[in-house]
Amino acid sequence: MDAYVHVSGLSKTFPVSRDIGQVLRGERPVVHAVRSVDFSIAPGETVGLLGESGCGKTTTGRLLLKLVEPTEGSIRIGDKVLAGLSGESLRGFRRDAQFVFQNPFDALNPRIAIGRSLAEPLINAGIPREEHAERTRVVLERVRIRGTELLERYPHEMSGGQLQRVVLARALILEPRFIVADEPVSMLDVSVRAGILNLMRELQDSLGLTAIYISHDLALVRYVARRTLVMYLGSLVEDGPTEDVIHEPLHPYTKALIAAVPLPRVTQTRDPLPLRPGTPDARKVGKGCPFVNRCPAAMAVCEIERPPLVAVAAGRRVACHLMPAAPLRAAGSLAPAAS
Amino acid sequence: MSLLRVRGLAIDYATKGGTLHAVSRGTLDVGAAEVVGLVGESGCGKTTLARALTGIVPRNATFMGGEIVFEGRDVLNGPPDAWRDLLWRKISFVPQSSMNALDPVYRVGAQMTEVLRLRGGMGRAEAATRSEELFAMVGLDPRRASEYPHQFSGGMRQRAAIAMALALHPALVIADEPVTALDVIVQRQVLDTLRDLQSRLGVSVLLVTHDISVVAYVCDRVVVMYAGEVIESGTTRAVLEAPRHPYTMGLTNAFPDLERAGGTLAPIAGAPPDLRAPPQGCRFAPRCPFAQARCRAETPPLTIDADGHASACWRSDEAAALAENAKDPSTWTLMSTSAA
Repeated sequence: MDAYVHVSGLSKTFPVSRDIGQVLRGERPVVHAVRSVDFSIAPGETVGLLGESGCGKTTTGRLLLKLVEPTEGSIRIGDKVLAGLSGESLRGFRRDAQFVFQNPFDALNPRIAIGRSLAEPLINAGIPREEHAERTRVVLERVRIRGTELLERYPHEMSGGQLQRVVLARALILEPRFIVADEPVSMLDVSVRAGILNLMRELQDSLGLTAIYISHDLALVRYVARRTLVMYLGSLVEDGPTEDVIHEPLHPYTKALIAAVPLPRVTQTRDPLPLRPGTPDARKVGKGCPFVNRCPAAMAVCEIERPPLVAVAAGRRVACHLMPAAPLRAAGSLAPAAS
Repeated sequence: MSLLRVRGLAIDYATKGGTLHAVSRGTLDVGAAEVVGLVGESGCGKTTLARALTGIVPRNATFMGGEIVFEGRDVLNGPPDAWRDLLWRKISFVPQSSMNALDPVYRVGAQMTEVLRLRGGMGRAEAATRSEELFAMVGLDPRRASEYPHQFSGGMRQRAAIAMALALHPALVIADEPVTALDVIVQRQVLDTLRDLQSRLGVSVLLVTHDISVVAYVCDRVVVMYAGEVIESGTTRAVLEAPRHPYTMGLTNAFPDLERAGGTLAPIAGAPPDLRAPPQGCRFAPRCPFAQARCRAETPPLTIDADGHASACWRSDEAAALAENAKDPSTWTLMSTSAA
């Protein structure tokens, strides 16, 4: 099966502020927002990208849409290698790949009516004016907005749930094949959120979209994505089917993350988290494992050598020295049993 | 006797679009050494209600009635100075964003000692010692007291805000979404610290949150608000496991549970009413799959049973059957096709 999205050796660094000594010495310190990330997404697959704030998940999403340029590595989406795109080929890519923004209250221009906001991508893509009404009608139906009176309204006249449907409609109006959704429900109330999540699930199926769903919330990722990538301080630390990642996390960070999620019921474990005291700081990641300062199982090797993301079982990859290459042999024998 | 007793509290906001009835029937109790969750969605009045308990409300807000009884004294209808005197000493507040709790231009330690000296009447040396104690108590390195708020991470700032709230041994801490902006691991650590300190110090906490999981994790009792009214309250177990109000039922359904397999989340169709012109009768009726003619005409009273489980629903006698029905997502989908 050919991957629709193929990312290899992707890194992105950002300059950080310098002290006077660094200025005088001509040093340009950087923070690694994304660090040698490799993954693929099959056509029509939805993958969750899970991590805490500052882990590089949003930067990864922006790199995938060529909203920022990578420092190293390559991205191929469909038949397009992003680095080489410009002019007409870039415009074609912009039609095929869309971003769904986090905050619907910020994503739409407050001074223009909803109808005009929806038409803008059509104008930019050069879609003939006579097709606009039909395209708008189709997309509103897709996001379950009834009637057209809403097109004349302004964002402040609408609820968060309605606005997020409009934001989704705006991303879908050019009929993209690939979507990056960055925390699309984090600003919404619980009772409304479920409706947007259900809608996203339906649209993935009915439109055959390839999608990446960025979130800090594992329960939400699980709801929309069968496969999950876990990021920590710029690195991918785990990759696997979402249910397996939840029920049998392999990376010590994933284990702590899952243990920390409170459940909506009285009976739940309140045991201390499997973590050593320490704070995540992207600027202080050395050459070893990024999680070494908080990992309860850290060994000497973890300080000096960064564990690569390796396959440890069918469909599962993990970057941890505790999961050595040995199970790799088992992966081959597991594969038939798993399928 | 409960530490805090609020009855029929009503607060209006004067807005450009008319009078907004932010809180209409605010009724709740917080017992001694109890953690009570105040839960609801944005705009339901939970923050207005919680902040009102400190006596500090926005300029355009007016108390329209009700009573706030703290340690047996009605502070709302008593002299204003008496209420103000309770602040920090008896009632303290942890605001939603700890960035707002701390002044960016003063060192964190200096802000702590300011509370201790001005409100606690301590001398310089005594305040410094107490400040160190407080830092250590919430798991902060006392040496970092000389840093500025921006040098702290979100979790550290929230710990500092909690330390400040506990500085003068209050009886009640009101915490407004204290962990909402935090990452899940940090959230868990801050909640554990809060719960640990609460039980060691025997302080009561009113925790305002939109997150049922947070309530389930730390609260003894829970109060549910919808459209400015308290619609259900009781022990966390009773409210989450045997909800009596359809809104609570809907809310628990819409919440993903990491340990429960698959399933479909059921949204509650429609949106909360405009509080400038709330609907007649039960305010949830327009979104409620179980609403009947009476619900749209008369406001159901908040009635309390022998176990202290209260709800404001005309059909609370049938709660068990309705709750069973509410678990089926199609109950709510049918609604959404007719009401959306």
